[in-house]
Amino acid sequence: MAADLAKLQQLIHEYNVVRSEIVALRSRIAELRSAKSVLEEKRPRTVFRIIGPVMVETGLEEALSFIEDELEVSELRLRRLEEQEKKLAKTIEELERRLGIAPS
Amino acid sequence: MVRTVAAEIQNHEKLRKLQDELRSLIAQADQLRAQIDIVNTTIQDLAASIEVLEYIKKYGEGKTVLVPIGAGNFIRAKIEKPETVIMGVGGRLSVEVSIDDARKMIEERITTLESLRLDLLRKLEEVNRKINEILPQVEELARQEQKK
Repeated sequence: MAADLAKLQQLIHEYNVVRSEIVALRSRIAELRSAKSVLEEKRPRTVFRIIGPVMVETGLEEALSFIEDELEVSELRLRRLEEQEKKLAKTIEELERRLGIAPS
Repeated sequence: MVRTVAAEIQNHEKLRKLQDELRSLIAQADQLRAQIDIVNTTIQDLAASIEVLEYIKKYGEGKTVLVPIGAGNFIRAKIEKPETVIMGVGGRLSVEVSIDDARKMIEERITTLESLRLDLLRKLEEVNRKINEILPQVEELARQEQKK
């Protein structure tokens, strides 16, 4: 019983970590999509990429390809995290049922 | 007697539920107020940057400005190209655009944020309405519990 409770606490902690990572990633994806649409609409000649404390001049095509790559990686990571979230939620639910406590 | 005890238990349970709901609503209201504050600050920042753009457009050419380098220290710099602005577009990218385009983009952001602020204010009003609905019930049930 005590071991199950400790496991439940750990799973809930993991679930919350995954949830906050998902929120951050969704916001990053929205930001990248918005940047992409601005670049495509305005088609500026000069684009700067922030790398650490400096802004490096880059071309439009290079900036768009950087956004595409970032989007691909972020979307893949988001899908993995969403699957992990579902699995964790299911495990937590089963454990709560076994322990006879109300679902959190 | 049995009925009275049952009613007391029911009242106690109702009070507990309402108190939980009230706590959750108060937390929601705090969160909404914090979000509204952030939106307000961002709108003020954007409005201030429009003022700077207007000034630079009119009087910027060749002017000496003080550039902050941190810890309250500044270096002198001359405005070389007042007709363009480097603007952050998100995703750690910035673009060079004309002052007029920059102004348009900032105004669009302000419009979006104002509509978001309105939405948040409506939500806050709704949460406050629910709080005002529940609060007297909680007070009444708590008074009844104290009388016992």
